Amino acid sequence: MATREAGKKMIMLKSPDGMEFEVEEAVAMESQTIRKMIEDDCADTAILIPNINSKILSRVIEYCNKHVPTTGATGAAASDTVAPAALAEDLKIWDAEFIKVNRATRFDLIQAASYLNIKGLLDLTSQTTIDTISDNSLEEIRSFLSTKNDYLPEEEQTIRRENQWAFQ
Amino acid sequence: MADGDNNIGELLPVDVLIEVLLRLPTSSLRRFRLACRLWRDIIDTHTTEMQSRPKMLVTTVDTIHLVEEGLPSSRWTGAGYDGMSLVGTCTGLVCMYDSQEPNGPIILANPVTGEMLAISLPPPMRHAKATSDSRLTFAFMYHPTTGRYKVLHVPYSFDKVWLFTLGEALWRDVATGSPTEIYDISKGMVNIDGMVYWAVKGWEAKVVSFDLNSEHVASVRPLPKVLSRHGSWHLVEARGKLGVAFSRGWWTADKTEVWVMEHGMAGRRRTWSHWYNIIMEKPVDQLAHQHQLTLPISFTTHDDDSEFDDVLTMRWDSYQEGGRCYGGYVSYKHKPSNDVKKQAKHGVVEISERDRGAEVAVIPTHHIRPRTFAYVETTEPLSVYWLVFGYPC
Repeated sequence: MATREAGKKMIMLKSPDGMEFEVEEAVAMESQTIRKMIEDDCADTAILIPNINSKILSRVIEYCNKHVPTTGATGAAASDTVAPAALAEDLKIWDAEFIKVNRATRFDLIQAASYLNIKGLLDLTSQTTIDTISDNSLEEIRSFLSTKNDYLPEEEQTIRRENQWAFQ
Repeated sequence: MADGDNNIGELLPVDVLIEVLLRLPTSSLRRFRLACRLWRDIIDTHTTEMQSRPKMLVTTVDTIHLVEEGLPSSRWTGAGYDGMSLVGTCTGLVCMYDSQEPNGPIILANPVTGEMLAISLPPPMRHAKATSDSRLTFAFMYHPTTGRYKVLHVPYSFDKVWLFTLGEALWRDVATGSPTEIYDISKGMVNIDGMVYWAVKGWEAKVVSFDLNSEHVASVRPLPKVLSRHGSWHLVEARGKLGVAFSRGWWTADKTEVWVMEHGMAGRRRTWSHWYNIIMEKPVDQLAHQHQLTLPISFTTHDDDSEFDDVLTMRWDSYQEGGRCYGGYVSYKHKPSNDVKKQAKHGVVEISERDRGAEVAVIPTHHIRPRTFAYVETTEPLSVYWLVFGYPC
């Protein structure tokens, strides 16, 4: 474990179902959304996180807790250089274990990661979803997107044509 | 869909879904564009790929030439492409055939990434002697809904065709369901939207198609009536549709009519419609000019506003360079004008010695039957198939 300074500032996160989570400010600031609130002094002592229930919020906090030492308190990118390779490998294994959840939970985590703007978590949850769909047929894709084909036959032909040569 | 992973669209708001799906590889996004209008618009506005313009590749027996707008045409000499002929292009991949090499192989390559992959020849060609026309017996296709690449081979004499699916190990044969027929190579092979068309020799004009979806070979009926007259014809592609270019020589000019197959709005009825007339005035002194028929090769629209397409034609010509005489195909671009006789719906092109059109490319070759293909640069991967079959070059 990396060393941390004593006397860390704590932040209270509240889920809409009434649960409260006390977390270190640095952990909460893994979320760019919360970071902005703190920096803009919008957050006094407690921050209400709408739309994310306590079950999902606790998982998100678990993720941030694990990832805060490697990412560092100052933020986003350029973090991997700080972490030794072994630590990064350890995190990867932890992530793989963390994402072993059912589909509904995974989608909730995607939504939470998107709202809270936690890039690492969004990458992890999205990529896991992507890995299951990239090889599917068009009909499966439509059902996956819950969408109906609304192209006219003539139009669909044009799109197929574009796909053949004009689309990378 | 694994582990019941469907209906993400009901569970995630669209903006979150976009974030997720934009991580898909481009080959998958291409299929998501086909899902519905919303997804096409989302993908087109969030990615930049739709902006690239296709270049034209013209191929002869053993060379490939690159034609870009506003630039002189040049020999396309990617690594190892020398002596190769092009069979087709799809989504930035090129499929090539080496007629110098007795036993092939067929090469798939992405010129941008430099990846190459070899496919063995189809069984009927393994012991046959390759000719300069062997290249014309192949088509390279992309199946838009499954994202699979396929190579089709039609032997000269056929009661079955051969299909290779990238990612599978072997060529498969597909019976035509008809007695043995002879492929009429002089009329060309056209590949449009997962359908390949070619002509069959016989007393009457006959065109057959191969449907990539159903893997059926069928006869194209009806054909335009013009084909029952005396003259020569070949298959063309016009704005994503099958066309035939029918040419006849007259005393003062050669005339080519281009007829295009249209699908009726209701049902699957096909009708043929007269799209273009191309009139090539003959030179007064015919002996001085070894006269060659001008062949239309491509019809494209550059912007939706323009009423008429650009028509590209090609004619065989000889030219002098450094005191020596060379032969080759010269390609010209023309803007059709309104047909006053109201026969040709998309206009008339009149070519004379004074007005030959805008020269687009000179392809030095002594071989006949060049083919043209549209090509865009992409980073479509090929290496994923190495594991499944074949071998990297």
